Amino acid sequence: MQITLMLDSLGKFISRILYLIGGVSLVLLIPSFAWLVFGRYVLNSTPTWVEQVSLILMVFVTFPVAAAGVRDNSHLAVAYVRDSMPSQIAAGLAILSYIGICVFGFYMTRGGWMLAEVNWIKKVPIIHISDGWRYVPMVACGCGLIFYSILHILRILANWDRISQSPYFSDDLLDEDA
Amino acid sequence: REWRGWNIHPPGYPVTIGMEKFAELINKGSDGRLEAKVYNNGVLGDQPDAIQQVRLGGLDWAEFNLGPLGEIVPEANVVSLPFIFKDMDSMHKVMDGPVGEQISAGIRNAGLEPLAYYDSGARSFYNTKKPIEKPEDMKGMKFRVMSNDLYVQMVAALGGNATPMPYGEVFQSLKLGVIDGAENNYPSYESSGHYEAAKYYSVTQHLILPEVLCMNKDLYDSLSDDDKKLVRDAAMQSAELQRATWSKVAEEDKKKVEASGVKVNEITDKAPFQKAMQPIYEKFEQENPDQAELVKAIQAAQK
Amino acid sequence: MGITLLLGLFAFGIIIGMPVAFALGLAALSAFLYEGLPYFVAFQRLSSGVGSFSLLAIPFFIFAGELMLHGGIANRLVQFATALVGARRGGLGIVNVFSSMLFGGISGSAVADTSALGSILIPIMKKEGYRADYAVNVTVTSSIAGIMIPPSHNMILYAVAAGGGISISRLFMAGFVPGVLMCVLLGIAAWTVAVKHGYPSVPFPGWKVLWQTAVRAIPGFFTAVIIVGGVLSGIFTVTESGAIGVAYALVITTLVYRELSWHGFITAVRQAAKTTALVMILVGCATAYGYMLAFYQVPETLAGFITGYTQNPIVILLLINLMLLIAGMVMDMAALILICTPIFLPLAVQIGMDPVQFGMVLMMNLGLGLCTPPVGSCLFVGCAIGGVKIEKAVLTIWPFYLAILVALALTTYVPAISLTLPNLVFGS
Ligand code: NA
Ligand code: NA
Repeated sequence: MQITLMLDSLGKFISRILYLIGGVSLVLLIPSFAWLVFGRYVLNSTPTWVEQVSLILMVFVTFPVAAAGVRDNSHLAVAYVRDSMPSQIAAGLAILSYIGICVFGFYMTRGGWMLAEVNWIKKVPIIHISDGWRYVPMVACGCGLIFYSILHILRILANWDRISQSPYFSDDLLDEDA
Repeated sequence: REWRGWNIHPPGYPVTIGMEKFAELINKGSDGRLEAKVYNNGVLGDQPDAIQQVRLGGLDWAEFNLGPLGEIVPEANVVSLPFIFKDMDSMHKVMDGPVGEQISAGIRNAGLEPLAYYDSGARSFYNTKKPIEKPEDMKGMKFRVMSNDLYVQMVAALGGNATPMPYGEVFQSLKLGVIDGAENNYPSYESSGHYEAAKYYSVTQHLILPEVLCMNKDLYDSLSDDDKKLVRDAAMQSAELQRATWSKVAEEDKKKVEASGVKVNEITDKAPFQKAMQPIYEKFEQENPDQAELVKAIQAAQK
Repeated sequence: MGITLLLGLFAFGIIIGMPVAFALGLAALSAFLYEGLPYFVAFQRLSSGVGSFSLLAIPFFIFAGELMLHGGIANRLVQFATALVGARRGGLGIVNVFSSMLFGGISGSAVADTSALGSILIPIMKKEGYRADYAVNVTVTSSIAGIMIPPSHNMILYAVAAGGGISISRLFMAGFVPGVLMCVLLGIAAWTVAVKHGYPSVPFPGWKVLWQTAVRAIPGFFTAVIIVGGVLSGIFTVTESGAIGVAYALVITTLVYRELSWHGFITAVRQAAKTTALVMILVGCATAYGYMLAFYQVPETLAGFITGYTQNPIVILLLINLMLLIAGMVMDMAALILICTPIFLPLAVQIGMDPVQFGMVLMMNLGLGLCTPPVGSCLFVGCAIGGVKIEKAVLTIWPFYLAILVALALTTYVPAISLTLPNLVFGS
């Protein structure tokens, strides 16, 4: 119980950082493109770095926030079958689905790591940073998937009594003290 | 086990015809013992990804342009230098000689077994404004180039405004004036419909990028000597067919765009263009001292 | 066996409530492992799907929509629509449809449309004596206009899923007529039901007020004009126009309307980052899944199966529509665009349909799916705002379904509805 609470607040802290990375990257896209348009029309010298930089920013928006999305349960899911089950079965299915996310996260971490390693010596054209950076957020996302799915499983197990007494299982139960 | 082959082009394209010929020769020549199959249209990923896949064994064989291959094969970068080949014939002569062998060795170092060189024609500039006869004509014009430092530097050195842009956005951007021009070979100029928007095609032939039919090196090494020979012969035959098909298609497409009102102009004197490339060559040789000799060798072979 | 794993594991993941993105990813990964392909390729495809330049406009459109919501553009549009058409009988129903046409023209997201306009309009309609289920029905069905009328990030998803060969500008132009057609039909449905129930109108506020609300709404509406106009005039590419649209919306909401607080800005950024990430991770996982679909040649197999059964294009189109409708009922839009496009588009092209027109048909089908149980995000959001049970709302929604189905049938069988405008602007 104590550990779950500690992991919880750690999870909350990490999710803030993930959102911060994603939000800042998203906002940075706007001046980049404004500068691109300005350069092309006013300076008649198109900044050539925008295309490559924006692709990397996009990766930095997507992967961190996608990991945080597992914590918030904000990913697109089709929950009506599960929600129509008795609470204990539904909670069991939820655990199963988190195990699936955890396995996927495990492979994502390894795959991302490998891609970063293989591409580390390659340079992104024009901006000349290592191409491996493209895959770093994926590694972080994979770790996040593992961490948050385990956290959800622990919370379901810790609240098992409450879940079995309730007529139905819902994620609200988990979000109560989030 | 089936050999999965990666191809970015649609059915009927010269490269596709070549690759399918290769697959057919392998399948027939081994009496069905070996089976090669082509997956067209890039359904198995885009080029940089596919290069990695063939290196690491996710795919078995493929046909790559040497441009993107330069990211992992330093020797292949040399052919991306603008105006390094005079024309198609010079390119063939160079690639089929000792220089080609050197590039092949570089490709082999990257985990790919090069089997034969295919053609992708010569890339020239086209635009919506006027014929380009000398570098000054490009001044101030916005040209779309592929995302590669050398191409960006090339347009800048000729006085143009280099605009990297995804290929899919080019047609619209030409039509509406976001950019003034782009550069490509006849078949792509025709099939992309760019010729409907940009009516001036100036035969600068600034890039003549060979392509390579290759396979995973471990797979190749694991073959018996007889099968290696079968693969090599099939590759050579497919390359002959591909090159012949390419020049036929390029000629047809040239006629087709001209018939639609495109004004094609030959460049009588390429010297001013080549002269403008001098700083790019110097910078390249400074940054890649290992390749400097290769550059000299290519130039010498065309003298 | 591998193909069973690919399709079956995905279906199983969906049924147990696993997020669609990870169900796709896990199923693709399993097929990779089963076939002895290196698993890193799955993540290489995932990464390429996310880092694709053609999709960069998506975060911008989403961001612009959030800024409109939090910065006061949405409610000014509603005020204008009310002053303009509120005085007809059942006027607020028509106001609702008309607002969706204006707002959807900017955000391009049906769910954003439902939540933004629904939270403003449903309470007003209830107060004026409209039944809650009617208010919800009008709101959710007309929100589909946001998908059809440009700009629309779903169209960009479609263009990418189709392999990048379709021009986004053509798709944008093509959406106008079917979108407006759908709004007109929905307006007729809204009006007919309103007359039957004797719903009141709001009094006409006078020309002066109409003029004032128009003046107040115009700067905000210009976000859409900038985005669409920028693309069509060739000043910007699609991506650039999205970014410029966001920059413009920022200026309007902070300097002109002065309604966007720092807190509102942070909320908008957070929401936009969240929606972007969810859509993009879905795109990434669907790209990995698509690799295996191509590997097993699923689209070819399905096409062969259908054309072996019938060669009649009218019947084939009907079949495609039916399958899309059913798929739309049980899953959400973005995922289905990515999964269904590579499967059905080649078949549609084979029987002579223009890919641009097929895009419109796809959008309408899946859009209708957003308003149907059991899975319909717009319906859910609308019912939550209106405080109506879903079972109750769908009892009276059929006139609106009918309107959309008529629009769908016309769009499917009359190519001119989709293609006239883009052909006029860009040539055929
Ligand atoms: Na829209
Ligand atoms: Na509405």
